[in-house]
Amino acid sequence: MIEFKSVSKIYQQGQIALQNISFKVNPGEFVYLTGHSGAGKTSLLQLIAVIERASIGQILFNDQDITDISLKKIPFLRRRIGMIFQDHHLMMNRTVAENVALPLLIRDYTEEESMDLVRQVLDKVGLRHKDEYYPYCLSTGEQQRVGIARAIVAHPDVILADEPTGNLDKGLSLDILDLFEMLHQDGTTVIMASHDIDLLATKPHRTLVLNRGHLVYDGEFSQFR
Amino acid sequence: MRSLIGFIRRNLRDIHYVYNTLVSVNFTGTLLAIAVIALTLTIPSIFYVFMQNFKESTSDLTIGRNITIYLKNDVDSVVAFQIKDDLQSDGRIKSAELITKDDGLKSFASSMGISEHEVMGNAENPLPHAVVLIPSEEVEASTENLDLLVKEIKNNKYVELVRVDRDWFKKINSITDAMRYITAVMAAILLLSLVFTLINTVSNRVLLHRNEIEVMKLVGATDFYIIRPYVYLGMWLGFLGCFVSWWLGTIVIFSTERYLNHVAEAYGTHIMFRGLNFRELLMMFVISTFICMLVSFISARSSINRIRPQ
Ligand SMILES: Nc1ncnc2c1ncn2[C@@H]1O[C@H](COP(=O)(O)OP(=O)(O)OP(=O)(O)O)[C@@H](O)[C@H]1O
Ligand SMILES: [Mg+2]
Repeated sequence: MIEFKSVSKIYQQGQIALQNISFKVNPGEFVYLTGHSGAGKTSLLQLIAVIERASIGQILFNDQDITDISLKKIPFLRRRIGMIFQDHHLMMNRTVAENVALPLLIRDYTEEESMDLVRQVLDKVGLRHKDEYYPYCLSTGEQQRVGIARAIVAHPDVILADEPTGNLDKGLSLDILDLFEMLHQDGTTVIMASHDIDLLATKPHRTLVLNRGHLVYDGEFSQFR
Repeated sequence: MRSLIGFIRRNLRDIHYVYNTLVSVNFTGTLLAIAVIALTLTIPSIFYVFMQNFKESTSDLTIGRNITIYLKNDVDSVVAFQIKDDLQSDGRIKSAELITKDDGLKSFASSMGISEHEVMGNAENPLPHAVVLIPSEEVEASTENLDLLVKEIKNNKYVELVRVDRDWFKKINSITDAMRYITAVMAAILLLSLVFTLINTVSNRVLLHRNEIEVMKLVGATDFYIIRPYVYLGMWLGFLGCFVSWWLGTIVIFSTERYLNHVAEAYGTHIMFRGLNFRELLMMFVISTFICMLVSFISARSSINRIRPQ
């Protein structure tokens, strides 16, 4: 599904975010990405969604080389990815329902079709009753959950979750993890970046550990501990 | 059918979105853009209407626009008739009229208020036969064609002298030429200002929605999807600008007509102005809407291209 071949990411100002990373994620896998703050978790996820481009190496998505993918093709790649952002990226002047509907509207769904699906996912993240709110009226945790709903509403092949539980309490975090578990059971590939080791321990999966841009561990969660 | 309804729905939604997020956000900017578009269209269209009316009204005035041909003194009236008929059948000539020696003498005498006999006594009539021509409109509109025609007539061996009231032709032509030139220059300058105003309006709004556009790109919206509302914006600005221009032009044209009629009444005549006809109006709407859509598209595309989500 996703393969990194000796990928390095060096930002314009010279910061080395990732160094010589190689790994492969198979379709339907559930993978954790962990490491200290600044280790390169966000950078790695951004390379998959081509928000940033690799400086060295090669990245494959479904056996297609996306390292130098053309600007024209990027939207169609991103439609296969549901991305949950650390700073959630919501539209402040649109309601929760409208935000969640966005991935459907750009796929030319009609208003009714999309609203049905939107209500279903808002139910899943426990925000059905706030669908007419504007994001600035919500708590950070609630905003985070709107971002999750938007990422899963269009049934993407892969979910890239960057600290999806960063602002949630223990109970809600577990609910979100359950939600990902369900999507994973349905065959969706999930890559979740988090530094909350205790949370990950409740549902162990294959884990990638980054340390200062190096991939220092790739294996079962239990052994890494 | 279902996809058609979906298509219309989507467009209605887009129009609603355009109003809410692009028009009402910066209303004065919108008004400014409409004003510039209206001005851009009004000034050339007023000139066009004036020119059209000027042309029409001058085409009724035949006095002095004729070419007078004086035949040689020894040409008899049979040949003179033949020459007149030949000229009449020429496509470049609207009408030809023969004024015989005797006609010429008669009109000369009557203009003096005396009889023919009193003018000449028993002497022979010294006047030549003459033919008066009115050239066709094409010939009249171009100095070169007129020169060519005159040259051809001069080459005729029976012709003594050709007199053209050139001043009249020149005046009419230079007035319409100047008007056409001024119209073109003004239209070009205004068009340029329209393009810049529109580029400014559109790229301002793109910047205003920068965050939204970043989010759209992140969830996989194509550039075309993001650009669409801005093209709608351009379409509406072009349409509304043209609408305003239509009314503005009508007011200017008819108030000028009224003013001129105050003057004309003193001379006992009445002037009737013709505004833009349906075809010209439709063309103005189509051109305005199209240009504004095109400029908005190009402007939106380049500013949206520059936005890269982080
Ligand atoms: N846009 C950027 N420009 C320059 N340097 C960057 C940029 N984004 C990240 N970096 C640098 O790359 C390194 C990795 O950052 P990254 O955001 O990937 O870490 P992270 O593991 O997601 O950290 P956190 O847990 O705090 O989110 C950091 O040293 C950071 O300073
Ligand atoms: Mg991060």
